[in-house]
Amino acid sequence: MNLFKTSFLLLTAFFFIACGDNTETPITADVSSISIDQTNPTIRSTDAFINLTASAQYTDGTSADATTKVNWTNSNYNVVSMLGGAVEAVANGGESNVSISYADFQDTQALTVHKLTSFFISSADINTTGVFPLEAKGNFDNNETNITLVKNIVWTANNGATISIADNIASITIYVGDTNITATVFKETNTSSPIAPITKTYTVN
Amino acid sequence: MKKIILFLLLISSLYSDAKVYIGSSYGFLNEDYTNGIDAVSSAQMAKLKVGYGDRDAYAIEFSLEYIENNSKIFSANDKEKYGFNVELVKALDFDIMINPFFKAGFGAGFLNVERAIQKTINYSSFNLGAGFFIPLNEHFDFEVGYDYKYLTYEGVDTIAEKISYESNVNVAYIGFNVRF
Repeated sequence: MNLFKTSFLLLTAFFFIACGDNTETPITADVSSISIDQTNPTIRSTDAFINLTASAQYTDGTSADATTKVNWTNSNYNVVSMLGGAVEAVANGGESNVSISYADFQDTQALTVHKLTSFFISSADINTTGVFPLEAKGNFDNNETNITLVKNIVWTANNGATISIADNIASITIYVGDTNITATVFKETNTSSPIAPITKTYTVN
Repeated sequence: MKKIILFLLLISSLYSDAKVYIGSSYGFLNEDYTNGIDAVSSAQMAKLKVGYGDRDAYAIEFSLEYIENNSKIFSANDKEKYGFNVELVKALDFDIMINPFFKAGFGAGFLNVERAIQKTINYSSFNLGAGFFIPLNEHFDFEVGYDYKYLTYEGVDTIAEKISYESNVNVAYIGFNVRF
């Protein structure tokens, strides 16, 4: 009797298990492509950096952020440096192709670095001792003007003044006397029209 | 892992009447995905096994299984599953026509899929089972049983993230064993 009962239970289980359904639509949409979200991105040669982002597109029409998952490369490390999707210019102007890849997927965008054509020290006049911010602004080959220079600028000073940089902001500690402050951008020696350093003198009595 | 296998071998070898046996089984399974995932699969399965032990005491079984696939869960063209299991079997002898048994073990397997990034998805399983042997004579017996498996699949790579799935599998099967 026990055998009969057990067999009946198992056959019943057999019946129900054998009559199950089957899912016909994948529960996870497949990847159809990946792309750099910015089309033909640009950066000024003295910008801090720009963050490019990447997305994965799926067969169901959705997409998701893949910025930190894809591999980032560029074709000209003499023009820009990259860390993930963060891009920073290392030359005064130029072009590079920025690419992302993952498995067999890839995408490429042309990135342009806008050239600084001229610049000037825009810091306010200093006539007392103390710590003061330094600032320079410039004009670029895409007709943008009076843009604050953040990177690729080197400040020097004499008369014992000290210069410190924190968070891309330069500050000078100035003392009594005449202090010459010089701003130099892109010490390019292989270009026909390098941008000359600019010097400004502050006098503190 | 080595310690577990050695322990299982030791247990089974301690029984003086232990014998090597081979068997095959055929059954049906239902698979339900956990965590609210609305996905199910129903299929036939077949298994080949080799064991060492006695049908009214302990035994250890190694099995290869083939699981048909009629569902499209990971891709539009999911293929069959192939798995390998190691299970410890404890059978009982009540001097009735059958020898009830319980078993526990683990396994691993894979199925081929057609995804852009992955062509294979691996899985591991924790297995529990119960059933009974129906001895025909000293060397032959039928086996009727139920297996429960908790499957954990390798993450599905969507680039943005790897999504892991788990499922509960219920299997009802019949089998035939030959003991040497």
